[in-house]
Amino acid sequence: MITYLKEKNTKFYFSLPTILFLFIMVIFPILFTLYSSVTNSTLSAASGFVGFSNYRQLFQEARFWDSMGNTIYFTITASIFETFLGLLFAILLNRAFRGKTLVKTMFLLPFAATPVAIAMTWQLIYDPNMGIVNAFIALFGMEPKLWLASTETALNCLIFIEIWQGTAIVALIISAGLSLVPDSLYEAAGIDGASSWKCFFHITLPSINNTVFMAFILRFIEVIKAFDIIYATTKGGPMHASETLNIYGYLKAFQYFQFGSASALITMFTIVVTIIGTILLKIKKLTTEG
Amino acid sequence: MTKKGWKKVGFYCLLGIVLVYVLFPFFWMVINSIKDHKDIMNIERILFFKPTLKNYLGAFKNYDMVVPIKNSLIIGFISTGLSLALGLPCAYAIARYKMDKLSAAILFVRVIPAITFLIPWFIVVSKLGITDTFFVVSLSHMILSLPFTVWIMTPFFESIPIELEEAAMIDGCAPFGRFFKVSLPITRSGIITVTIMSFIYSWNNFMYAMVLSGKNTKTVPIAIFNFVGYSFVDWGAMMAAAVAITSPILILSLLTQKYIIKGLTSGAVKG
Repeated sequence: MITYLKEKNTKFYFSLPTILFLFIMVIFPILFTLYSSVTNSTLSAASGFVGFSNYRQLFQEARFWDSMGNTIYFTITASIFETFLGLLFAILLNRAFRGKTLVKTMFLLPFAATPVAIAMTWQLIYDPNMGIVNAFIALFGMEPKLWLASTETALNCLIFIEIWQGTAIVALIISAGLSLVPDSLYEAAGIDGASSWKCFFHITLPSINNTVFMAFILRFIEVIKAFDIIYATTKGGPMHASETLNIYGYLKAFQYFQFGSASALITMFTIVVTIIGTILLKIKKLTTEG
Repeated sequence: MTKKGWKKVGFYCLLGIVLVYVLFPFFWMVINSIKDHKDIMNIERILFFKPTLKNYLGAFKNYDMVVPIKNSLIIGFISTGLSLALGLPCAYAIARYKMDKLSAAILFVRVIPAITFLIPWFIVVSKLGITDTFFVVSLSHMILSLPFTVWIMTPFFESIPIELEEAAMIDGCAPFGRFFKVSLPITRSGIITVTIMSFIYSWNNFMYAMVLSGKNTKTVPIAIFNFVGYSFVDWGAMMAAAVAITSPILILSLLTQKYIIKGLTSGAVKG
């Protein structure tokens, strides 16, 4: 009996600090954001209850729907390309060669590097006057472009940076999955005289498709929340052309200080992310079990 | 050449392309950090220029990078330390006592956007007059590192055979003793992983630092970002500062790559 009580206490004492943290830093803020989304709170004015008018106004705003569209386009394009390229890179890394560990280590750099520092470097790369991209395309007689400074290309330029960063991470994840495929499978196929393409489609891909899908989900949930690189380079501009929900929510809150309206937007954003995240994880669960 | 030989050449060409793709921005950062401002502005000298180190001197003399580096170190240590102190016992409890609801809550925190918490934090912290303190900024960074710590460590504790603890229990070892003497040493590699990654998350954090830090607690990403605020953008010094703040973190990850790869991939593979 005494040990039983002690065990109960352990469970309580060990998890209590984290549970307290979650209450103060997560649950309270979520409730606060929900509450503040039905008020007209700003930096200076005291908040008054306004019902759902923040949401109504938001839904009538073209800028909100544009940022929603940008978020969807940004997330889907980047996470699909990251997964596909990452898979190709991982397959390339899957054979034995000298310096393999070193190459894999290099793949860590895009993940570990400070995003703001990386963003500034890309800004220099894309710069219309002194950037290497324009210098490079000039070699082929192409006209210089504005890249991050143009409403037409800004979002795609950011997607390219995002893909650059995410691909390496996906490659490492899939590469870890590939290393778990037992060699005996390939040996058996080798005896049967299967070609390397056949091996790839009939052995490699089926053994890692769960890992590939999980990598996609992880990236999707990460990319939809992208902030640092977008904010540090374009701040969502020019003319809101590269503005995602995350960026717009931030600007609403900490540039315009419309806390009520920003809370409504952030609530919508959080709901969208949670629903998509849950659906993806559910699909994953179904396909793994089935 | 034989068919096999050609295959090898093709493979190394592809590998070369991939490496250029992955490493180019780093190369570009370093190259521009040792270029004179005139050479950066001159597209003719994009690759051929006289290297100089004066950007590094400038970055530290004119733009004060020392204080932000010190601040980021302090905040990184506090937030990582607290995440370990809270997260390790919690992960142990989840693993040992099957606290599935808590585990789901932790996963939820990892999924929802970081900005969800920021307005309330900002309002409360401003009301209390404690913005721009190391404690608040560190606490905000824990929103990433604490759930990460619990999430990565739970499977580590689950994999410890219960017999090991039972043996210790029979020897008269109390729960706290079992946790410290039996479980923690076994999960050492996991602890190294979460320590390094928590520190990296904190060092790189931008959004929270932008809102919650100020003059006294300015972190390195903010210091880099502030270069754009000047009417004249000193690209050379900015790139030198970028190299200076990314290289410690890159060197750290090169030295501990085994653990970081584990942290990035566990959960995705298998799970």
